[in-house]
Amino acid sequence: MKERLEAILGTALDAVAQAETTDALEDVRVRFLGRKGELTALLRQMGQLAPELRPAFGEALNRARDRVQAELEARQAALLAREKQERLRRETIDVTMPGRAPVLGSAHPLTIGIREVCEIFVNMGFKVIEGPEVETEFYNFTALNTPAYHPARDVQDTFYISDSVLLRTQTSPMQVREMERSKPPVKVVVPGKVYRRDQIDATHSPVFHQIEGLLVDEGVTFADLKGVLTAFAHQFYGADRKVRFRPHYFPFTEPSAEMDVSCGLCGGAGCRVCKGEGWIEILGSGMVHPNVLRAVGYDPEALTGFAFGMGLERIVMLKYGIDDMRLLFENDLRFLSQFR
Amino acid sequence: MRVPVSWLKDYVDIDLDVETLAERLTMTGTKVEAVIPVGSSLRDIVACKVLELKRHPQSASLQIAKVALGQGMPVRQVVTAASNLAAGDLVPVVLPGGRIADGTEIGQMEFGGVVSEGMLCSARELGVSAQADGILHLDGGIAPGDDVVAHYTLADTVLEFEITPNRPDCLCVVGIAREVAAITGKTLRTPEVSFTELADAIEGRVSIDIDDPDLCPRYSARLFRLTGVGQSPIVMQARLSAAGVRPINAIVDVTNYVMLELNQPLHAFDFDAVGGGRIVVRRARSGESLVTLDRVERPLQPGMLVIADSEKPIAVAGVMGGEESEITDSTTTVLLESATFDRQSVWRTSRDLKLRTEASSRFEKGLDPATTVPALNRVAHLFEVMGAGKAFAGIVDNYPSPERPTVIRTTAARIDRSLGAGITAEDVRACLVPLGFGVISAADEIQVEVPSFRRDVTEEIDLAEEVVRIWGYNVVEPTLPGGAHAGGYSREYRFAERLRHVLTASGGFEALTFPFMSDADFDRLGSAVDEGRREAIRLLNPMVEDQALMRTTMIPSILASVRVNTRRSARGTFLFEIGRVYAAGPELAAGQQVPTGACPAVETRMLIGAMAGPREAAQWFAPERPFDFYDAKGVVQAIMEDLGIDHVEYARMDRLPYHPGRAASVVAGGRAVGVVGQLHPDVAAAYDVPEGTVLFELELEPLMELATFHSAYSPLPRFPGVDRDVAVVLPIHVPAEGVKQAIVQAGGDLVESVRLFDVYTGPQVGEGNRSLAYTVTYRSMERTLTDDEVNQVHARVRQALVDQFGAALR
Repeated sequence: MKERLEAILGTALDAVAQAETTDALEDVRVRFLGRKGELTALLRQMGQLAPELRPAFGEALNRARDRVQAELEARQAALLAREKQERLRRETIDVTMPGRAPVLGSAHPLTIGIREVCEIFVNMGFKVIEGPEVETEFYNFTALNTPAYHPARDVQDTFYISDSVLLRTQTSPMQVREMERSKPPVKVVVPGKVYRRDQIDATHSPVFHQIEGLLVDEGVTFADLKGVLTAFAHQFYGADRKVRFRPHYFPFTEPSAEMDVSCGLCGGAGCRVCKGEGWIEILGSGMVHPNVLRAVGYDPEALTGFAFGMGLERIVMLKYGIDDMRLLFENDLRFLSQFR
Repeated sequence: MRVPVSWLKDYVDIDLDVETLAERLTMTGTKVEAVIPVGSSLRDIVACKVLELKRHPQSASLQIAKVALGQGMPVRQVVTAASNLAAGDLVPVVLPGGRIADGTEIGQMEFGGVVSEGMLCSARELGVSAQADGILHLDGGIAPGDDVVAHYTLADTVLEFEITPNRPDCLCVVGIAREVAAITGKTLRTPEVSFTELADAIEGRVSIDIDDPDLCPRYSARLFRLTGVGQSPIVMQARLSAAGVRPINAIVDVTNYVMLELNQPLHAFDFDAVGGGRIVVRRARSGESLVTLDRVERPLQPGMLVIADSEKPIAVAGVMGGEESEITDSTTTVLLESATFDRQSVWRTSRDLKLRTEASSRFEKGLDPATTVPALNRVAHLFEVMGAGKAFAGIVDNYPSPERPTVIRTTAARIDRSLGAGITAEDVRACLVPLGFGVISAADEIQVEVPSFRRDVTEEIDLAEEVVRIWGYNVVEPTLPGGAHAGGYSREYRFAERLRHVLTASGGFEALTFPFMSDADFDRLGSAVDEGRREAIRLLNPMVEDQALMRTTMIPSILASVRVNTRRSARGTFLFEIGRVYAAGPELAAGQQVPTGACPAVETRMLIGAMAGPREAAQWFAPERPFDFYDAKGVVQAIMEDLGIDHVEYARMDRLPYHPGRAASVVAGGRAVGVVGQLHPDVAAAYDVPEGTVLFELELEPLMELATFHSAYSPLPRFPGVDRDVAVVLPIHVPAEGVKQAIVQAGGDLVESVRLFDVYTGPQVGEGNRSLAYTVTYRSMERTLTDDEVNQVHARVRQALVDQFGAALR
């Protein structure tokens, strides 16, 4: 019996070692350790041994069973690992094929410009509001201290709907509307469409966008105007850009100033972008004219304020290096998809 | 406005280089747009005296001139085609190697065997004027051999200014010189006006009546006896040319020259054509007309200010003179008008006559009545110097109500109140006095007398501007305003941004279009928008007919953008726009005055989306397929989902411009808030966009009101749900939404969701039928449902479908 045990053990260990799949290994387990397995059979045959031999044989048999069991488990683990590896190898895909990307659209570059400009002013405590595009002559001109014979009122330059109704030529009428309906302090920025009778070309369009700003409060000064607009320029264009203010004229502000920013391309030396001047005109601004304050019932002795307005197309074109304004309104996807 | 620097130097010393001067002027509000060199090409041009003239042996049109270039220089021989030469003439010659104004280099040349050692020059070749016929005859004491360019300052620099409308005083050489003097600390010189008058007086020969002093505060005139209407001096012609004014003849040139110097338009009448020697400044009478200098007969409207003689208008005041009293070669006596007209009156007349002139554009800006007499005297001086004419004794000056100077009382603190620059009383004086203001400082007050040419300065704030621009805008130290304010975005702005996020994440590209449309669009869109046609706001002066109306629908403009894309590339297009449509408000529609605070139009915020062409090009994982109705509807669903608007219905809609069977009205909260649909094929054809183009339109205001933005939390279910499928075969016209509603109703509270997972048409379900397969999820929030419970309720659902629709269950 002892020899028999040795022989079965040897065969079993060989069979375990030779099993190449987990299925084959299971067959091996059944053949030797199953209910009708060869080692199990030896246990039943133990009764044929002399009683004094049984304990020693039993012990040997158990050792043999444990050995086979241990080998089986080890082999099982090895085969599982190998099979998993094979499965993973079979599952290999071509990672260089394109993914199923969701189609992403984008906001219009002028919207992106409005966002960026407005965010800077919101962070300085301004509220973003909007206003009507079909305006009265009163709000667009008269209340803004623009004399009746001012050339801007000319039908050559302004779209009229009736004698006294027009398409706003600037976002500035919202200065008046906002002051009329609210108590100071007034601190707003107003993005929106404006209209002028310009033939469309690379730098003009009958419809374009402005962002207006207004701050009216007690004790607001020209120095504050400079501070706020310089802060804007440094955030929008970069802290390394130089800023300068030039006297100008607008009927509804006094003193009035245009703000220039040093050219980002040449750094002020003069180039194609700044037309050799080293400076790029960015916006018009000024202290709100007392006549405008009076027109809305504010007391110019108690309140002062500043206003500013910038042409969005120009700002966006400079930012992205767009050389033709028409691109902004054609909505060619090959153009629109370049802005995110 | 263009000002030659040499002219400027007549009135102020300039020791800065031109670039620095230009920068200083720009930074104090007199913006230099460009610094333009003129005559910079001219080289080696000298005066010469014609000694003799001979016919060219071979050419009848050429002459050979022997010219002297001054003492010690050899006599040269020059071939010329000019016919206005005589021996003894003093003319310019460009020597071989020299250059004329357009940059052409002149070499030694041969004409039919005769060598020409240089070229005699016309006025045009020297850039003096446009006169190209004949050789320029030199004036002004030049001697043979003298450098012509230096003698007449033909090489000059021109400053081109952008003068803002509030500063008409800067529209002249003296005005600019005053600014230069003020910012450089130099003294301003005034133009020379010395002359002697004739013994004959204007008095008794000329009378001036101003019938409408409100439109003509001052009318001054001088009378001149001409000694010939020749050319003006070369220096004057060159300066006029450099300033952009064409030299004509001595009379016209002098009036232009003085206008450019002093900003006083002048008009010369042939005195013999002034009936009765009378000038009457009055409003035109009904039926009157005038042939103006440009040979156009112009009917005059009553109310337009005219200059009339004893009978009829002879000029449109401040705009243009009449042909009949024009100066001609036979004119012997000139009546020179120097007047101030009301700016608004000139502006209106010029606008109504559609006639803008140099004079009218100056009068429109408001001129200084104090300049009329100095301008006349300056002309008298120049006429005398040029030998063009002599002034009769005296001036007729009708100035019914002389202006009193404006005086503004202020303090340094008040000036500084809006500046925050720390301006002192001494700063105020230092800035204002050089500009011509009278400043008297007392202990607690500054009294400022405004010069008459500064009509823009009327109140304290105007003084503040003058002070700070001279003091220096960039010297003011920037500060940040005090007081904390809550910034933020309007509800409309935030809402539009939220929509943009959903739309761009869904693959949409934002478009921006012109919010116009045209009458033709209404025809293209079909009858459904006739209502819009009646409401549309019409522009009185559109640029082009297809932009004559403010849009009442977003469709035409987005389709134009779709067309741009489908024409240019085969790529699919998903564009959206957030914009406005416009309708007249009640007052505008009724032609009434719009009250203060109200808006003339109802401007409605809209979202439109347009999809056309392939949704995506074919990919390895998905074939190409065109955008269709369900893509558009899907985006609308996503928007509603994002906004938290539940219970949205899509009701079949048969209305142009949509396909009668492929459009739905979007109904939420009981209101129609938009439309989703495919364009009617006729409309697609009319706009030249792909036939399958689908659109969605949503009105923003009701969406803003309905949006919940998912503001409340619902607890998560604690018990498992159970899925059961049901498939029904129904006639194809039964809407899927109705089937779903029936399931929800029959299933009651236990139905958590109903999902349509398959739609099948084909032989297995029979002609005219389709199979709809749903997964119904049942769930209770209180307990785990048993199989029995679910089976019961699902059986009810199946039975309901049979009962309600006669459906066959599969």
